Amino acid sequence: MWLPIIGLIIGVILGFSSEITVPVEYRSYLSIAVLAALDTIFGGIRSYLENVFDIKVFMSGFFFNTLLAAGLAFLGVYMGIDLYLAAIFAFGVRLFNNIAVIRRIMIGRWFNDDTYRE
Amino acid sequence: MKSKKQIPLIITAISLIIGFMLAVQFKSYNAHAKTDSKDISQIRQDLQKEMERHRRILTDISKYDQLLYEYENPLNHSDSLKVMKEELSRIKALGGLAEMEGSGLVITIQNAPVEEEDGGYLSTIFDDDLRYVVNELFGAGAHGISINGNRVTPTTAIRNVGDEIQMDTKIIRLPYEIKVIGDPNVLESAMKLRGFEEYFAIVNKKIIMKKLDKIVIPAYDGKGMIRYMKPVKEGS
Repeated sequence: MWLPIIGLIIGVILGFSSEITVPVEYRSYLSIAVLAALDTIFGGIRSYLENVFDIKVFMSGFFFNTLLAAGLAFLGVYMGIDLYLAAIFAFGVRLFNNIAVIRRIMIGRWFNDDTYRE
Repeated sequence: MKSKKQIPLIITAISLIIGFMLAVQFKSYNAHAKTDSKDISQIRQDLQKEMERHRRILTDISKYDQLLYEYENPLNHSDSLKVMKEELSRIKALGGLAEMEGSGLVITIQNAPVEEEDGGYLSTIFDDDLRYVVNELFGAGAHGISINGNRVTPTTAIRNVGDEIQMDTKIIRLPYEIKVIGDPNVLESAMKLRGFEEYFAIVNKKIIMKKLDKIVIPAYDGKGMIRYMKPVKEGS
């Protein structure tokens, strides 16, 4: 359980220590991709806790969602619609959902009480 | 199917990637924000400095202009009128609106004694030839030129109209007497160097050059030389 958090921390440290910066015009794409990735990772944690975790679904979801989000933002720029808002909305809602489920599961495990799991 | 032990490792790897993306995003966003604001304030300061420098230099320029003006024109009233008159006469002389005298050269182009009849065409002088001569003389430092008593001004046209050559609207005919004020030696050598004697010999003409200490060339006698243009006011 702690390994992903450690990985996250290491990744953050790596990112800060590297000299890579993203050009201004691609910043919105990266931010939406980060959101999608976050959603996927929390979805993965949730399914892991629910014992329905499938590595294929998880991996494909990670890359597909990230690319789809960035692609939506890209398409929106060319169509003149703020299409990235759709991605932000969808991923944001899912993020909260997943975190809520994770929280319930954790609380249930902590107190050894199965009533928290719906 | 991968074993259950590997799954946390894969999640770890992916969260590492996410952490990396987050950090890059955070860093690039902050870096841009910082450089932007810093740049603008710096540019503003630089602009302020340069504007001050500009103002200083402008005041310097006006100061030195004033000084120069005072040196050139003594600042009492009776003198300034005289200065203005002098300036006016100088401009008139250069522009061809005043009579001028000085040392110079008198060039006479006339028909050479005819030995055989060449036919009319080859023995004609065209406007081109005269323009060429005038241009060459100005190039040799001539201050004023007149042809057959017609002053050459900055707007004088020399052109063929029918079979005759007109200066502005006055017809000029052979022999051409070109009076030039300038350094006689320079003018003469310029004429010789360009080979005008040989050139005009082809069309059966003879050039006689006479250096004189005192030549008077008349003022331009036309009217309405400047009709369509006005001076531009400074700063408009």
